[in-house]
Amino acid sequence: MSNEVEETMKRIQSHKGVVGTIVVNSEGIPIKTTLDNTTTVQYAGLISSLADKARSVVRDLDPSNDLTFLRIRSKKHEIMVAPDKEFILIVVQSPTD
Amino acid sequence: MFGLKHNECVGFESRWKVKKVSLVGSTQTTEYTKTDMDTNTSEKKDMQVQTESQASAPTCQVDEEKLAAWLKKIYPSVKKELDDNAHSRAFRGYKLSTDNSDANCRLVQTLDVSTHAKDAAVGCHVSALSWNSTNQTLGVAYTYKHNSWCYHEGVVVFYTLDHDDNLPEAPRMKLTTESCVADLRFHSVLPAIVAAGLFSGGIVVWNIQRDDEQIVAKVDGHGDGITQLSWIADINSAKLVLLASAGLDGLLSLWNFSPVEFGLSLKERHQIRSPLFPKSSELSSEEAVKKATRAITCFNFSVHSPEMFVVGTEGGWVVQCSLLGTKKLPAGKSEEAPVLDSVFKYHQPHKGEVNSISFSPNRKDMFMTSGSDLEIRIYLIEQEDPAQVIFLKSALNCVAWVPYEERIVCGCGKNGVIEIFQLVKGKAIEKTTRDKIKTEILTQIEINRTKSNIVAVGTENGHVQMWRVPWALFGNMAS
Repeated sequence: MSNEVEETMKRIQSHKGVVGTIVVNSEGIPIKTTLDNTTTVQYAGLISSLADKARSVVRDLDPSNDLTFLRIRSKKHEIMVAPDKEFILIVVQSPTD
Repeated sequence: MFGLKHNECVGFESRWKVKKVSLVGSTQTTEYTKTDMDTNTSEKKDMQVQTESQASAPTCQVDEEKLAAWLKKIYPSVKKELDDNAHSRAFRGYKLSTDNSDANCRLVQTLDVSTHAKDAAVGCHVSALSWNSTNQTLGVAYTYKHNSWCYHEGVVVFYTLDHDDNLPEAPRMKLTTESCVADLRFHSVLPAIVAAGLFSGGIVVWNIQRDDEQIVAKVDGHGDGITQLSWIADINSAKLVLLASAGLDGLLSLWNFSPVEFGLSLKERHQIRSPLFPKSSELSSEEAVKKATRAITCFNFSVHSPEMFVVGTEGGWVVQCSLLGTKKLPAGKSEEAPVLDSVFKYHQPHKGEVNSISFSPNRKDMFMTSGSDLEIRIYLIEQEDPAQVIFLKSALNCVAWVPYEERIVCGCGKNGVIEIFQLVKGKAIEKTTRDKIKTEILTQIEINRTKSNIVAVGTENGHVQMWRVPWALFGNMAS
């Protein structure tokens, strides 16, 4: 099973411009990562609290709605967040243009 | 005791001269060698560092099976997003710049449209510019100086932006009218429909998609020259778009425009009465109305509340009007369309003619006027006095709000460059361009609504200039 997880992570990593992939659990603790420890811990903590906030915004606006994806565009990176109940997938991509 | 000494003779060998004894011998010496040696002493420093123990990611037990299943489930959507992102054009060419020293208006292109005119030698100036609803086509109308009646042939040319957002040298289409074109406005929705208001008072509507017979409607709109046209939303039906026209005859007319049959029919007319009525005792009510009317120089309908509009008149009156709650006026002739009095409120007048008037695109209670008394005024609809007055050093021919930037407005006039004003401080931003530009008097300014950094400017010599203006940077300066 662990192989399957690694496999999917590798596939995501092979996409154009992808710098790193992190899987975080619901408590904000990183489970899998392709980045170094310090970066991972930072991303995991900050992004998971942002994703929580974003989700509560979407739900407060419309209780029947839910957050499916979160994209953060910065000068250097694009951070894609796929939130779920138990896990959060964070993919850091560097812009191509 | 004493006796004689007898010295015995003794001989000795002479020693005053030594015979030198020499021996010849030779020695073998080794060859002379020399070696240079250098030594280099290196400086040494001792340093100590305190290393922190690396933050180790707390590990925790995960249900690998669940995680694998979830990753598998979410992978297709992530893949789609990643691919979309790689192919996205959303940020192409987008440069976040916070350095205000980059704030510079650049003149990228100058086109001479006067070459299309019959009497180019007489000297014509650009009287109207308009982008169509797709913001790809620019309509340019030009006119001559009139001392009395207009005998000129009016010309309108249309240019379409190319891939690099430049205008081609040759226009896409050229249309002519029987007299000079005072204003030109593209339809707010239909990209091929364009209306022109003539110096003679006529209104022409063209469909520029057609190769021949472009005229779809033609009416004698006003008794005197037209000053402004505008396509506005109908307050009775959200889908319909009306054409509003104002003229020197003091009337603002609303025309029904049918997009199917392409016809113009007069819906209603509004007369702006002056707040100072002449002594009406000697005059009949008809004459009083006639005397009290002023030519409308400009008007603008609010995008936020479509029934509200503001009007600037000759003599500097700034009048707020409403399409609701109008009063019927006695019409001079038996006309089919009623003449209505729609005046709601008078604001503090300008000391000269009002050149332009327009509602803020961002705030529904704010509008701006510019007058020949060298003032730009910002009015709030609730207040008669202007909320802000910007005093100008030289006259402006045209002013406009800047899309998405509520702190600045722009204008053009005798200085020959795009001038930008800070609303809050009430001051002009100095040196909007660092480039050396051949100064011409500018008459019109029209900002492209999709790509707001593209600005078309018309000049007194019949040229069209294309400018690139980083509004956001000027907006930052004003904040």
